[in-house]
Amino acid sequence: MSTMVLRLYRSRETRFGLVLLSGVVLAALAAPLLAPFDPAAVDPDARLLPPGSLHLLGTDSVGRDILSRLIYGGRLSLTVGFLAMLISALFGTFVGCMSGYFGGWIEAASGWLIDVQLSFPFLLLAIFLLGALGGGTAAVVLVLALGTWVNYARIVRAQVLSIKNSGYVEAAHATGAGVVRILAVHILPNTLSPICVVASFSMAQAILTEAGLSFLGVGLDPSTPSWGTMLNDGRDYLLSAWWIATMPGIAIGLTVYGVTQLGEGLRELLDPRGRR
Amino acid sequence: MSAAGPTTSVAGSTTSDAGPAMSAAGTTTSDAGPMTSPGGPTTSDAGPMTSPGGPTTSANILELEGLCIEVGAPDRRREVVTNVSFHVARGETLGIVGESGSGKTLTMLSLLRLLPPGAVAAATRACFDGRELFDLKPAALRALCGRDIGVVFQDPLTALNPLLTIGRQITEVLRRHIGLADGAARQRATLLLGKVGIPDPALRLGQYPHEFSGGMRQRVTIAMALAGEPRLLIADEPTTALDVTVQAEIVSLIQRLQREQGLSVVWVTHDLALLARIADRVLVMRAGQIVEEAPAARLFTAPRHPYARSLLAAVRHEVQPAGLPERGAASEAAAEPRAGGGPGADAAAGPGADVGAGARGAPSAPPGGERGAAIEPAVLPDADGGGEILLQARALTVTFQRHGFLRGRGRPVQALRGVDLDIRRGETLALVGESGSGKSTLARALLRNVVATAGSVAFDGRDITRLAGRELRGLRRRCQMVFQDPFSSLNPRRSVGSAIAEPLIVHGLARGQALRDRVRDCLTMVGLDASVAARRPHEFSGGQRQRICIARALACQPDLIVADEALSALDVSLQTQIIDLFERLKQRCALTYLFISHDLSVVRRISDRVAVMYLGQVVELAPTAQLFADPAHPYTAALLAAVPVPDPLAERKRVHVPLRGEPPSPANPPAGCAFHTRCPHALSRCRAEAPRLRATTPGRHVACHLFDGTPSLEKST
Amino acid sequence: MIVFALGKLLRAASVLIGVSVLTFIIGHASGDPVLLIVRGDATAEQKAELRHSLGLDRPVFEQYADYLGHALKGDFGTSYRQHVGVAGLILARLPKSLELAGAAFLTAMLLGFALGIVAALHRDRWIDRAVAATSVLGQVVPGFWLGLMLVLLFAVHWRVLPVSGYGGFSYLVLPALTLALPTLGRMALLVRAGMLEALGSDYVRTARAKGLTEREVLLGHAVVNASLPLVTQAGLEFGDMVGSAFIIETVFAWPGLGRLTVNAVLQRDFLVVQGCVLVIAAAFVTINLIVDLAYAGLDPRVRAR
Repeated sequence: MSTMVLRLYRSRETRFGLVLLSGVVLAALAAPLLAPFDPAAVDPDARLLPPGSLHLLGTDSVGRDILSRLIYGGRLSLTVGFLAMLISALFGTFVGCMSGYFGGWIEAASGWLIDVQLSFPFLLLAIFLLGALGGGTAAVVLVLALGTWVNYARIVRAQVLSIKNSGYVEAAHATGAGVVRILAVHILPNTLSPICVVASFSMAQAILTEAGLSFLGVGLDPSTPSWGTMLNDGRDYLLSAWWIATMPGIAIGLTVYGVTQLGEGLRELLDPRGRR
Repeated sequence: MSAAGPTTSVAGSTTSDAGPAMSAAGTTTSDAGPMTSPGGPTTSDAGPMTSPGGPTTSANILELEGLCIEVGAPDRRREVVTNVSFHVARGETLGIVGESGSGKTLTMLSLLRLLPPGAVAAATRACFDGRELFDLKPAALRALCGRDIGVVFQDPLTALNPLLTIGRQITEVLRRHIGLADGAARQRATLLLGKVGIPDPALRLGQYPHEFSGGMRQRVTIAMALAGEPRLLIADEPTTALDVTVQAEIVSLIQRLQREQGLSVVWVTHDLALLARIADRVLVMRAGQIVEEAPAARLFTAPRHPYARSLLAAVRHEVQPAGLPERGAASEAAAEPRAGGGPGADAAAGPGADVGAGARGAPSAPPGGERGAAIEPAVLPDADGGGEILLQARALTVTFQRHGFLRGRGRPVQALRGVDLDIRRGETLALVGESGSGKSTLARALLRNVVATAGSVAFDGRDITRLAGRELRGLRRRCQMVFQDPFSSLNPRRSVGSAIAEPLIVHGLARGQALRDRVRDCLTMVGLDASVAARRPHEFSGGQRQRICIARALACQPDLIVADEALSALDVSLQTQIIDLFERLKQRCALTYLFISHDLSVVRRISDRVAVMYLGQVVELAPTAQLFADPAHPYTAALLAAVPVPDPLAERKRVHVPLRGEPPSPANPPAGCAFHTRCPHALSRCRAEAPRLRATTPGRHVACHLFDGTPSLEKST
Repeated sequence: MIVFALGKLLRAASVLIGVSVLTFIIGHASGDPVLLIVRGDATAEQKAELRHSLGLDRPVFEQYADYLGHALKGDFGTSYRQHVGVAGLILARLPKSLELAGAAFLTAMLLGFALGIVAALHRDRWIDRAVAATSVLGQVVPGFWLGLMLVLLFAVHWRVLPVSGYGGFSYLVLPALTLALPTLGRMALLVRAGMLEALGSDYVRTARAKGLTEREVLLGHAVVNASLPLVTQAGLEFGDMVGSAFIIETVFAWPGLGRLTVNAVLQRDFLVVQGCVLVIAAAFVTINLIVDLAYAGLDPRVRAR
């Protein structure tokens, strides 16, 4: 694990992303130490101030400091994104593995299900479900997970299919190994690398989707600071106080960039290694 | 298009001599003394060139001097081809032979500026028909490529664009370089296809590459290369990916075209034996340099350079003279003892084919310096009736269904169509056949890796066709398999030690320290150092990986080992080492082998009996010596006739009678005898009735109506 | 080929049915429309009467079959909120959504294709890096945020384009661009990769060995093969685009289907939602079918299976 991180750091392309992401994560973790103001502190005298020396990124419509909200908001957005990624990874990998290895009706059924879900506008599904589940952070996480599990299922299925037919699985078969051993020892470990790559992209996607849902007002609770809710706040003040909407967007952009760079780097790293 | 007549010098050329023609209708170069590269400095401009052994003219269509090719990142350049110089005379066939990494392909590609990005080539002189290749402007080079030089690449499937019809791919050359209009181009393309032996050429023009078989595709690429009526044909491993009978046909085709059109041919290959048939002169390359150049006759009788000698010996499957180091991972220096013993230790060595010599006259030389216990000489099974039967198949049939949900089933593929076979304990039985013969499927069906659709398999007396669960696992313990590609047979994420330990773990045979000890033993047995157990597969070279796979197969002390094309992915010099290893192990561990291969020369060296398969059936089964000396079944005869023999004189004496027609597909086997569509001796009976495998003489079984009237194999002993 | 097309058609139909069932179930599960229509003081009898008149007290299967039957004739029912035919509502909005989505899709595909090829041909030079940077930008930030930024720049700062609304071409530019950008970026990268792979392939080497001009090699061989991944991905991208369109329509006040649907969901007007979803799913499925057939048209190996 540590060698992998080191190698990621060494590669020039991924180094930037790694540093960026680490910076964002650290800032989120250290929020109480870093944030200059209380993110919920309302200050009627300091409403709609542009970026300046006291409030580095300005204030919003009720006088809350943007920078502090951004840092605390990062906590929520990152946590939500990470959890969504984890859940969708587990579920998607399981489905992909089963349909790839066993094929048959499992594959047909899950393939059809995936098609149906993809034909259904995701946003609508999200709004439906959030309404049915009653909203709240947990509901948002689940819905976000729903949005990305398909990626895992597809990639894992393809990977399992290709490994299933590869020489060493056949050799293990010929040796007499059973299904469980083959899956656990040979197939799954070799799917880890594509899973990691997909994981980074799906986390990025989750962060972006959360922003969208909160922007529409159906995502996270508008009173808690998250990057998405901040974008929603800023929408009405676009002409007068552009920084309210711009800053969270930049934060999202940097984070997602870091995550995707990491993903690309992982892909590069894990793919050609071990080839002759 | 004959090569007679002076070359008209093209604008910009500097060296052609338009004087009295030195017609190069035949080869003119004779061996002008020992040389490893063409001798003599040749002046490059405005003067007649001296070519060895002849008066001044452009007797050579290609002259190359001092070619160097570098690859790699700008700060890490490596020279992969160094100071290569040679010439090709008009109308002659030059063979270039070398193993992987020798630089032979890069050399030829560099002339046409087809090198991969990052590779840079430079030469003192690179003269095609009097024109300096490296000085040509891109447009002129393109014209040259289209009209004067044709190239045939190795893999016809990737060399053709899968999305375009082959008609389009041929006519685009005609339109660009000969200026033909559409209709005329199509007509010419049809003619070309006919000339290379494709039936129904007009129809085939509109088809796509994937609709052709391998051999047909290669014919198409040849037609494409000839479209511009070139004078030089460069063939880069054109038959490597093809079956041996198809290879024979393609070789005949190119020879015929060469005669008809007066082509000069450069034939690049790793198969030295092939060059005995087709080449006038041969260049041997190694690690980017030419190590020997000689007329074919001399090279095959008296090679001078040690590498050339070892290559020839390897091709003849003799023992290596003082083995040369294997290219590969750094770890190998410590890991391997040299295979084989001193030079000349093998009793069967000698120039030319050892036809008729008891094929297994003596056990392969147990050389001195070998580690391990003393080796007893092998006990040869008797020709028939001797030796206990270990594995037996009767009427084994395997049919694969093609999948298709809404599209319907598609034709089922009949991989095996009723196979009868006996494998005796202690013998090495070879299974020989070309693609589509079902030999791999048979191996898998015997080992129950594939479920048989019909028929039975018995191991050590017990019927195993319906085994399952624990009993099946018990079978697996006693029968192991070594696969073709040593790289993909090993899990890249696990150490080789764990790969070898896997059978032991699966069958619960050892644990902890005992497990580790056994793994070390296995590694030592195959000639690798025990300390490498913790390394991963990618740290080893191809030959070493195959040894690891063999070690894995030995781990649980099986009775039978099936080697499925275990040598095919290795260079020839490595093959000999692995063959030796197989033989040693057989003695030491009392193994029985089922050896699957398409390479008949390997088969002759290693096996006791041979079973020849065609389209899912065994057509002939006989002791090795008998089979090679006197093949009974017409297919066997054709197969043997198609295998190149590393002896130019013998080759020229052979009559090559190519098989008619195309190899049939297992999805659509012909009625009656599967071979009748291509058999030169087909009777009317063969169309209707399929022959059964019958014993003709004790120990020999043939499935052919020509040999009818003898008892069948039913009576098994 | 016919068999292939039929197979795909069948699958498309089954997917549509699945979508309709799913929508129906979710619609029914998401709340009782009767409660939304009546006033708070309505009696139980009045509610029951209303329910009966709307046919909501029948078994679910019957309601579904009834709905399907009507839908196939073009009758999607009547909106609970707005008391007009759903079909009419959809028809009013559909063309505008198609206009936006169509413009965005075409722009993304064509421009993405062109940029990808240019980037591959000028590998590692400034244009390649510019294309890569733009692609990255389009994919790391929320699309609507990008839209907002574009509005800030072009509409507020420079005042060359309108902020929002529907009208002539100038109103289409920003929303279509915003919608197209992420897809454009992805397509450009895909085509670039495909092109590079084609340029390094054996068949391109053969084409060069045949002495064809660079133009013939590029257009005749490389480009055709490079466009395959684009075609494969096109269907999925359209789906993504439709999803994003909801937000973009909101941001730019574009009177399309997206806004209608989102509002209907929030208002529990589920007949409208059902109708919209069916229409959108049908569009998606159709586009995918076209894409599949286009791919089969390009790649003969697919046809042969």
